[in-house]
Amino acid sequence: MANAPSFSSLPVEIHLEIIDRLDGPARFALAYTSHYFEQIVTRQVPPPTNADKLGYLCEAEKWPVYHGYFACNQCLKMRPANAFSAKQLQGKRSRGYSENGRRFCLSCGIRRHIYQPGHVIPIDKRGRFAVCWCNKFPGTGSYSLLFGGCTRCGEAIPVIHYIWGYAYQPCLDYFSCCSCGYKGSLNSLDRPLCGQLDEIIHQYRTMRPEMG
Amino acid sequence: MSGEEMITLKSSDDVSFTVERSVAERSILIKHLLEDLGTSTEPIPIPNVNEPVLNKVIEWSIHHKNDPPSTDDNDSENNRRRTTDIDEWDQKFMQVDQEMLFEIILAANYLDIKPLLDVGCKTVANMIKGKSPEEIRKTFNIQNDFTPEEEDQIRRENEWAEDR
Repeated sequence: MANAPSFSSLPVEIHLEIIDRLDGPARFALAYTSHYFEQIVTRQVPPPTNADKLGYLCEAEKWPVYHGYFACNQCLKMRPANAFSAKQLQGKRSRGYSENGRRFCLSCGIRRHIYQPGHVIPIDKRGRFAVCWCNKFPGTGSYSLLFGGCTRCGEAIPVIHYIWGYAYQPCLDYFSCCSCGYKGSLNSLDRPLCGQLDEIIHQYRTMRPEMG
Repeated sequence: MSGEEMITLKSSDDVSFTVERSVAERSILIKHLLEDLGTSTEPIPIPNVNEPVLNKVIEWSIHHKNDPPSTDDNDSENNRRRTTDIDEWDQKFMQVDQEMLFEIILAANYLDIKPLLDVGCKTVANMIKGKSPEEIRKTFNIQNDFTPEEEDQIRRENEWAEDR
C-alpha cells in the first residue's frame, strides 16, 4: 500500500457495499457529488413511493441548491418560502428539523381541507388570512367575515380571505375571488390584492416588506 | 489461554502477532488457509496489511471472537438495507481517522471478515447520511467533475420535485 487510501480510491466493490447501506436521500446526495458516483449509485427517479419522495425532499431542502425552498408533504414538491404560513416554517417544522416532513403549503392546506373554513392562518407576525367557503354563506357583501362568499360567482372552492391587522373587520376592505377573479375594495382608495393564492401573499409581502 | 492452539500472523512490515486460533478464524481467508494447511507453527504472512491496521483488526477480532457465526446471507441482506445501527463498542472502535477507517475496510475485505467489513461500511454510510452533495465532496475530498451537460441532466432528474 504505497498511497494512503482515500474514499475515492476504494475499490468499486467497497463503494457498492457502502451504497448498499445508504437510504434513498443519501444515495441521491452521493450520486450528485461526481461523475463516477453518478454512474455507480443505483436510485429510482422519481422515488417510487410518496414516503420515499417526502424523505428525499426533507433531506434535499437542506442542500444549498434548494436555498429558499421548503418541502411540502402534500404536493410533494419544493415550494418557495412564500407559499407557506409562518408557522409551517418554525420550530420543529423549520428547515431540516425533526418534523419538517409534516409541513404543508398554504394552497395544499386549503385544497386538502387541512385549513377549514373559519380557520385564521397567521402568515407572519401581523398578517392573517381566514379561510372562507364561497358558496356556503353568500352573505350580503362581497365577503362575509368567516364563511364569506363571492356574490358574483358563488363558487364552491375554498378561497383565502385576507385580514388586515389584528381586528377582523377591516378585512372587508380587500377581497378577490380565487375562482372568478372578481376583485374589489370597499375602500376604493386602496388597491385590492388579487390573483392566485401565492401571488396574493407575494403582493402582500412586497407591500409590507418591513414585516419580513 | 486455555491451552488453545495459538496462531502467529505476520504483517506486511514484518511484525508478528500471536493470537488464539478462534480469533484468527474470524477471518474466513485465514480459516480456510488453516484448514488447508492443517496444524502449522509457521507464521502466516498477511502481505496486504501493515502493523497498525492488523493490530486494529486483531483487537476487533478478540472482542468479537465469541460472536455467533454470521446469519444466513439473505437475512442479513434485508437487515442491513435499512439499518445502519452500530453497537456501542464498534462505534468507539471505529473512531479513527478516515485513512485508518479505509485501511480497516480494505483489510476486512481482503481477510474476508464480513462483520468487520459491515461495520466499516456502515460507519462510512453514516458519514454520508444527512449531508448535501457539497458536504460529502468536502468530507471525502471528491472532485466535482460534472460537465454542464451532466449538471443539466441532474436538474432534469429532479424536475418532479420542482414547483413549476
